[in-house]
Formats: sequence, structure tokens, C-alpha cells
Amino acid sequence: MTFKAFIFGLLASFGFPWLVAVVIPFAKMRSLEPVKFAEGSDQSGPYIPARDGRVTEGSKIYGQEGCATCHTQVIRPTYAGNDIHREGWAGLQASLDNPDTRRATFANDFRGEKVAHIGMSRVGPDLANLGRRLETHLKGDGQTPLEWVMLHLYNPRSTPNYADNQTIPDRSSCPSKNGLFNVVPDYQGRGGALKVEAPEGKAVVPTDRARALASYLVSLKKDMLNQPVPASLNTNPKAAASAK
Amino acid sequence: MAETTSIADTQDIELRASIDRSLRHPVMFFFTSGAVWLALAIVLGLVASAKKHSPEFLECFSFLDAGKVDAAHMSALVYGWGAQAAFGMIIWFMARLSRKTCTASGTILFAGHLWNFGVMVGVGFILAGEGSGVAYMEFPMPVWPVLFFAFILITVWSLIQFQVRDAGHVYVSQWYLLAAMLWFPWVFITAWFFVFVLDGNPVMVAGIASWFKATLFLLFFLPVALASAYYLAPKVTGGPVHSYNLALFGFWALAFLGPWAGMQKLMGAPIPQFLPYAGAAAMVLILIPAIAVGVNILKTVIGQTDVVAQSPSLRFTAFGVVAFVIFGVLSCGLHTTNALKMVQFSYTGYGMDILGLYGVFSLCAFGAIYFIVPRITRREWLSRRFIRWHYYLSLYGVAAIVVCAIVGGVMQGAGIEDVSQPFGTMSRFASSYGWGVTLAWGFLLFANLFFCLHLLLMWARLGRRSSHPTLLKSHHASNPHGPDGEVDNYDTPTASSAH
Amino acid sequence: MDHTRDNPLKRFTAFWVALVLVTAFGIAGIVLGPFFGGGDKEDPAYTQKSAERLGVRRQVENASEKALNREALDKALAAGSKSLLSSKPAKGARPVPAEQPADAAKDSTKDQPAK
Repeated sequence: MTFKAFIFGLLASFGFPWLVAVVIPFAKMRSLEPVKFAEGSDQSGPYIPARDGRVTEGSKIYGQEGCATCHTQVIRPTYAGNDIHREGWAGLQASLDNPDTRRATFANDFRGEKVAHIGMSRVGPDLANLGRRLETHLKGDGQTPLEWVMLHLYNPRSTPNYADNQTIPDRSSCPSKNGLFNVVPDYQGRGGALKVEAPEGKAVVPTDRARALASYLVSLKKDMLNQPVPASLNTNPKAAASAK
Repeated sequence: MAETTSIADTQDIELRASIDRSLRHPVMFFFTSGAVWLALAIVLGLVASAKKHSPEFLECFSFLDAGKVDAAHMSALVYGWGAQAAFGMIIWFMARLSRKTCTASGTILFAGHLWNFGVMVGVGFILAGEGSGVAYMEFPMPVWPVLFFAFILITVWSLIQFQVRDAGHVYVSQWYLLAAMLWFPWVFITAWFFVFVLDGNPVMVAGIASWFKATLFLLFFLPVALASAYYLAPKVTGGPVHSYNLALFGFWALAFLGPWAGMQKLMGAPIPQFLPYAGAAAMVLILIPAIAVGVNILKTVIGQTDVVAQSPSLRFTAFGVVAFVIFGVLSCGLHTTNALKMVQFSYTGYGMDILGLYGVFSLCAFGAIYFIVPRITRREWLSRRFIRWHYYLSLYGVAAIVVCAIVGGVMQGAGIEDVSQPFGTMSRFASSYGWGVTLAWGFLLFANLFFCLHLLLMWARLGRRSSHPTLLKSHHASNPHGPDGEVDNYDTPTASSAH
Repeated sequence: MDHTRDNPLKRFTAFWVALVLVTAFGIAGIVLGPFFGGGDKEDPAYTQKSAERLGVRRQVENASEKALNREALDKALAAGSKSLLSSKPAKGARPVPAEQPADAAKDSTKDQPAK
């Protein structure tokens, strides 16, 4: 084998996948056509899940804090896994209050983020629908999802777990992110303090980093409540049958 | 046993000695600083693994919380230890195989310090929570160009050496080293450019980061490890490689399969479906080059088990090659679509990463280091016992990681896929395997403390002044490194006939 | 050293060949970039959602344009500026400090919430 033949072979064997697996898909996905609702349905226009909260900043902090090591944010279609069937992960099952809003993750779910935190492993539960799951579980509890998230970040073992609907009290293995909180002198009328035990005369307040991260986490919802899933994203066979 | 050597042999010996002398400082620097980074990476790995099953461990240090310390651990392992060990191996093997002395050792040493500086800054920023936030590419944006610049300053001289080599047969290790020196910057630039410079769809950015992680192992660390194995196996046993054509076949199989791997980590995610399937297919077919290399190297040393038992370099290298075959078999089984459903998001991925980086690459690197360091320092290793401890503890550690992380990961994944079980059940299953992984890191920490200490003593010129190489068994009549004589008199033609 | 294969010129060439090879795919990316959708990222979803928003903005702009009485505005401005031009600078009134109350309370040590 000569040097020239070797270099040619190397350039070809690397260049083809480079083009086909990296460059072209990247270029094509930069300007995706959004999913639209079907003709004749009540909704019209593009289906873009609305996210309220500090998405861009929170997403960056989520990555920097390494949350993606233990949590995923992807609901795989059924050919790739059973995620869609796990309670609370893919959306809400049909009930008196809402239609079946479960769906797999699609490309526009990560709008506003620089990188999608698909996740490395599931030491902890999938977070794609965390916001909606918390709302459902905390309804009538007097605690907002934001408060729950702040308490969970400060001390995960002090909050009940809402990994899915089968709430068995398990010890969370989430690390305590106490670096995101400050212990400061307390005074009457101080707002924003966490409802946790603190030393005498002190209060635990979140830093701005914690506030951004909590805001991001609470915004993670797979569905727009009371809005149906567009037909092209609805892989539920019952939905297809009822549409006929 | 005095023997008459011809003028050509003497010139050869002198050339080899001058090559070793010219590379002494950069290579020792890379190996020693790499070993220190390895010890640090293992400590961080121990903490990261402990945090997964005992999250209150070291809770008071917020810079050590699970996500950040895990990222710091992998970055230190890959860029602090892996890359530096690879650089030392690349520049020494290429110089010896091309038979050229190194004329730029000062530049390489400077670049090595620059690399170290970049990695230190990167790991520090990760622990401070100021990493890039991109999984698998956690160094902040400005560190990457510094590393790239240092890389060029380190390896361009080896590329030159290859091009101006004397006419003659090109050995398979040289092709592997040349490929590694080109693949690394190609993969590096592409990943940095598409992830940090351009503004793309977030899912595709995550896909490219996964591609980067897989190709960094398959197209940089693995070829360097195989180059070392192909160099050491025939060199130490004194016989030729079993089949040069099989070696080339294995090389091109890796070259065609490797660049497709990586995106199987995004199976089910909203990217073009053929990408994760191509990645999974590539990881399944990695069995082919694994078997090719395994058969080739093991057939080269077969029948010389006493040599393998005696020579530290050959023992570590043989173990590394066996680990590559195991990696190939496991990769084939774990990347079928049914298996991938379960193990995609479990400990298994981490187990395979460590099997690759430690089991395959690091063990071959240790083999190379045990071979190279006596030649460049002109001293022999001090303690047979240290080498044995290093070897056996590494063996246990890697085996424990394979069993616990990979098997445990399969159980963990099966648990999540079973929707009739609450999530908590699976996480209870998994945490016992987590203890196993932490224990394995404990073994590896001890193994590498011995190694690091031993290497630092050699660096401080405290090795044995002797012409007898340090072998793992004592008082053996036949000496696989050649008859007694000068340290570099090891591959004279009579060596193989000594058996 | 075999001078037919290894001499300073060969090494110089080899250096640049090596550099080109190493940066090959960086160069390829820069060259091919514009062909494969380089430039600013388009966002069709944003564009489509914007249609509604832009419609509302157009309505608002039209309404305020209609409501704006340009002639009256010009007349008022002209009158005001003419009078400014013709007026002379005059001494202004200076603010007079107020009387201090005789029984001003000392600062209390208790913290008061900000008003």
C-alpha cells in the first residue's frame, strides 16, 4: 500500500460518513418545517409547544450541573422503548379533565435550547414531562411545582418522589445541589426563602442560577394542556380508530 | 555471551539509542503527567460512582456533586491520561519505525505543557459549574482551540518523519499511527465546529457530540493501542506477525466502520432514523476488526506463553487485546435493537466506555510504557512486585466493571422497560451494581497508585542500573529480551533461537 | 540519512502536506458550508407563528397612523418654537429650603421595611 493509496482510502472512508451522517443531516435540520395540525381539525397553524420560563439559560445550567448524566429528556417511540407507556412520562392519559395527550419527543421540543439534553442514563426518571407531572401530583397541596423543585434541588431526600404514578417512597439518589443556594441572615419580611430548617436567624435563599434552573425544569412539559396532539404525532392506535 | 555484530547492526543500535535520547524528555513527560492525571481521574471516578448509590457522600463539597464530578472524571481520563499516553506512544513508535531521530523535542515538550494547561483549566471550569453544558464535550468553548494547537505541535513532526522515512516496507503499526494522527484532528475540528461554532438544531448537536465521543475512542485511542500491540507482540516474542494481510484487513475494517458509530445513543430521538441505526450497525460490526486483531496478535504470541508470562509489556498488551475481543463481542450483543431498547440509558454504556478506555487502550498503553521507559531512561524498573500488583489489580478492576456495569446495566434497563414495575424498583436493583462499580474503581486506584509511584521513581532516574530487564518471573534461563548485554541489545537475530 | 528521501526541502514539503491533511475536514467544512445551508439559521416555525403577530402589528400601525394629525402637530410645534426663539432669558426662581420641624424624631434603631 502506498502513502497516496492510504490517504485516498482514509479520506474516502472518513469523508463519506462525514458528509452523509454529520454535515447533510445537520444542514437539513437547521430549518425544519414545523408539524401542522391536520386539515379540518379545530386547531390550525404550526404545532409548537409553548414553553414559559427561562429556557435558554436554564438549559445551559442544566448541562453545566451535569443533570444529563442521570436524567434523560426523551420519550422514545415504541419501536425503541416503552417510555410512552410509563405513567406521567409522555403526557397525560385520557381522563375527565383532558384528552390523551401522550406523544413521543419530536424535534421542536427543544426550541430555545442550544443542545438537547437527551441524557446519558436513567439513574433518575426521565424529565421530559416533569412540569406536568408535578402539577398533577401537587394539585390541591398548596405547594407550587416551582417550590417543589427548589426544595428538591436543595435536598432531594426531603421531598416525595414523583418519578411516575406509582409513588413508592424511595430514597432519591439525586445529589443535593446546595452550592446553588446561599445561607443568609434572616429578617422579617424576607421573601424567597426556602421552607427548610436553617440555623438560628438564617434563611436559605436560592441564587439566580437556582432560579433559572428551577424555572427551566418546571417548563418541561410534553403537552399543551387541553390541546390535542396533532394527528401526525399521535401514535396511539385508539386515536386513529376514533378519528375515522 | 559475547557476539560479533556487524557494522550495520552497530549502526542500527546507535541509531536506536540516538532516537531514544532525542525523545527522552517529551515521552517521559507525557507518560508521567499522564499517570498523575490517571490517578486523579480514578479518584474522581470513585467519587462519581459513589454518588450514584450514596448521594450524601462528600455532600459538603458542592464542586463534587454527581453530574460535575462525573464530567470531570471522564475529561481527566480521556484528555489528561488517555491523550497524553497516546502522544508518548505515537511519537516514540513513529520515530523508531521510521528510524528518524526527533528534531523538535523542545517544541513537543512545550506543547505538552500547553496541553496540560488546557486540560487543567477545562477540568477546573467543569467542577466550578462553568463547563460547556454539552454532554461528552464538557470543556468550555475556549479550551478546544488550545488543545488543537497543542496537538498539531506534538504530532506534525511524526507525520513528517513518516513521509521522509527510508525506502522499504511500511509496517502495520505505522499505518495505524498515521491514521490516528489524522482521524483525531478530523473528528475534533468537525465536532467543535458543528457543536460550538455553528447554530444548529439542538437534537442534531447532541447527536454530533455522541458521534464525537464514539469516534474519539474508535478512531484515536483504539488505533494507537493496536499500533502498540502490533509493535510489541512480534518484538518481544522475536517472531513475525502472524499475517500482515489480516492486519491490513483489520485496519480497513475499522476505518470503514468507525466513522459511522456514535449516534446509536440517540435511538428514538427526533433525528433522521438512519443515523442511530447506522451507529448501532457499526457497533455491532466492530466485532469483525476485533476478531481480526485478536486472532492475529494472539496467534503471534501463541506457543510462547512463557514469554507472555515473563514480560510485563507483553502481558499487559495481551490482556489489552483480549479485552478488545471481549469489547467486540459485547458491543455486537448490546447494540441489537432489542438490547439497545434496554441498555441505551443504563450503566452499560459507561461500562463499555471504561472497558474500551481502560481495558483496551490503557492496558496496551501500560504495556508500551513498561517497554519504552527503560529504553529512554536507560534504567530498569525497580520492583517486580509493583508491576505484578498493577497487573492483577487492573485485571480484577476491569473484570468487575465489565460484570457490574454491563450486567447491572442490563438489569437496570430491563427494569425500566417493564412498565408494571415502579421506577423505584429498578433504581433499587441498580444501586447494588453501583456498589460493584465503586469497588472496581477502588481496585483500579490501588493498581495505579503503584504504577504512578513506580513511574515517578523512574522519572527521577532512580531505576535499576542493569542490563537485565525486569521480568515478572525470576531466574529464568532463557531471556525473551535477548541475551545478557546492553539494554538495547534486545532484538538481535539470535534472540528467538534462545528458546 | 538517505539524502534522496530525507533533506530539508523534503521535510519542509512534508510539514505543509501534513498541515493540509490535518485540517482537511476543517477546510472542507468551510468550503462546503454555503452549499449545505450555511448562513443564518432559518426557523420556519417562527416565521409561521409570526404571521399572526405581524398582522396585529400592521393593524396597530395603521390605526396610529390614522389617528396622528400631522398638520395640527406641525402647527403646534411651529408656534411653540417661534415663541421660544423670541423670548429673552430671564432670572428663574430658586427653590427655598423648607423650615426644619422643631421636634424631628431621631433615627430609630428598628429596621423599617422599604416603602
